[in-house]
Amino acid sequence: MRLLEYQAMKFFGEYSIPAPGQVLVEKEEDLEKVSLPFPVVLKAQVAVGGRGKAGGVQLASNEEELREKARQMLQMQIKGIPVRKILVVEAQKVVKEFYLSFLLDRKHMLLFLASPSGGVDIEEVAAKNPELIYQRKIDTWRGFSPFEGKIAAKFLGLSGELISQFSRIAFNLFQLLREKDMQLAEINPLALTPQGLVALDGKLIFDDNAYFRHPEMPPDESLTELEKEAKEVGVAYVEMDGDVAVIGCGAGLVLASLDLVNHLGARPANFLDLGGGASSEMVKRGMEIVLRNPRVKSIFMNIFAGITRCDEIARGIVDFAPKIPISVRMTGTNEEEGIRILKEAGYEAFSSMEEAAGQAVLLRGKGGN
Amino acid sequence: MAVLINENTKILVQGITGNQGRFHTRSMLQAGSKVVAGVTPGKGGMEVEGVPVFDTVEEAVRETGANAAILFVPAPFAKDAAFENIEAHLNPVVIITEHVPVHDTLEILTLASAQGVMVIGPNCPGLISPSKCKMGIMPTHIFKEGNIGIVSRSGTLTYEIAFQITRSGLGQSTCIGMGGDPLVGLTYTDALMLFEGDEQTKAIVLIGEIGGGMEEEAASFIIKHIKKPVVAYIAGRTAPPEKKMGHAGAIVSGTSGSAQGKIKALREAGIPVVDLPSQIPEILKEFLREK
Repeated sequence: MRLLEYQAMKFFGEYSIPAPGQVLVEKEEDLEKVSLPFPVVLKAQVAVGGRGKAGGVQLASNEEELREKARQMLQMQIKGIPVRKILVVEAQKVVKEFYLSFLLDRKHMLLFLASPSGGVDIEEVAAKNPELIYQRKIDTWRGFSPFEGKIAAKFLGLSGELISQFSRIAFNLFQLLREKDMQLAEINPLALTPQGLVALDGKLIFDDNAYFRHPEMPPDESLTELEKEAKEVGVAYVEMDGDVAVIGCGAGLVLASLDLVNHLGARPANFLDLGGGASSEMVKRGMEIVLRNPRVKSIFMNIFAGITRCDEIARGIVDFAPKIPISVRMTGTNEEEGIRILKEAGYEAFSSMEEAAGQAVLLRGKGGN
Repeated sequence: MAVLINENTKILVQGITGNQGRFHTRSMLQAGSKVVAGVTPGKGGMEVEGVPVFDTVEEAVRETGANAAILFVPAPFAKDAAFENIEAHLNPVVIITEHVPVHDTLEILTLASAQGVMVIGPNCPGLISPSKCKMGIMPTHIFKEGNIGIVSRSGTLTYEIAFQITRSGLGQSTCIGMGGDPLVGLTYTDALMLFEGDEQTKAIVLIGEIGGGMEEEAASFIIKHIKKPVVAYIAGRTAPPEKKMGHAGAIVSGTSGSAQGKIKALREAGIPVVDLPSQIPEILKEFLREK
């Protein structure tokens, strides 16, 4: 889960990482609580990139402007996501912007990154000016030592008291990554101001698998209503822009099914992974979720059953009796029984995924069963 | 010879008394695997499917000579179970468990690499050398002994492709599911290296998906180190960016991790990348004819 900026800032506070004064605003009345010196920056709390270009970051130099811009922003949508919260932040005099992060990745395991080129996408810096990135693998058992921060500080061109200050911030950010089970802990930009170094924006990605040991972690605010419901049911759902609903078991095979629909000249309406060993009840709930999307015109269900049982899936389909055409591919455990149940109830069933997908694409616009 | 596991592999099942452990122990035995020991703390002295159960790995190894481990323990306990098996030098250690926190995986992999133990997974279907040994949860009947090595990040997609290969009349030397998490033990490069050195393997199938940079890494590795023919399939061309598609690893963030980037890297390395899984058997047959 990617935490929103205001949530990340709360954790920064907990770990003594300096940040400008700020107040979270959810409704107009909250503006009464804002007692920051002007000018202030209004930042829309949405978990998508490029919010600045979309008008999600604005400056206000007095109370009137703050009120006006906050009202507008709370009615905005950024890349389809409604703005429900705004972080109002004391504007800073920025001398220079740096980049600082820790992350877990397959190649380096535990990686420390810093760059004098802050405030921009680090992937772009890596592609265009790799020499501007300091990177260092961190030992799993020893963890991050302040001296490693000092080496990076020199690379960034910092001097005097700022070397220790930077190293302290890096050390605290590393503790946050390890103790709070973050996959990524990033400060970008880390700004040099007349008061010293401050975190102007932060990105924390929490490892969802670690919820069981972090009751303090907030729920994911970036999910759509349907995605939230899917999570409760125990299936993985992602909405897309086409009209063929795709349901399957196993992420890789569902991805391949989306590509197949696309290859056949149609567009998938969603990704829905039932996982392994789905019950007929989960199949029903899964279909319910994909059909909530009004664009869906047909369903392509792709089941390669290992621990899943085809007859269980077939019963779920027959019980639910979808109102729009469905084409099912079934192979693996109890395949004959599954296909028999479906055919008896008048549904299309195939053992090849290409045939089943082709049929689902064909059946769009042909109405109910 | 197949890679990593064969007829001499003596398997220890950690978490053998749970539903999953019990079910797959039976299935592995039916596939001809030598499952020699089970471990569940507090259940020592029991038997599951005729396999003796021990309280600790240390005891199980001493009594049975187990030399490889497969884990079915719940995620919160996976780290300790993996440590226990790595310290006992069981090799490979296959972690089937899903939802292992990535910081726990970090520690598991760090210890394994210091001890020279190959970890497969977590969150993986395991591996199979057909007719010799199955150490995983895949359906046995879709595989057949042969000379194609398969390595993949996905479970069911691997079944799909393995089955198509089997139905085309070819078979597999070893099929390895690496798992879909952002941090996994065995990677493409490890598998490619093993297949390159394996006499039984004549051609290799690499199944990739969106997210991370492992496929790109594999592409440059193949140019330098692999002489055997490789065909690839990458799932997720239509996936929208910034969305997690099931596997924690399957996310396209910004410009990196896209299917298009991976396909380009592989093609530039001279590796054919097919559009559909069903095109793989034909290419493999061409590879084998050219030999």
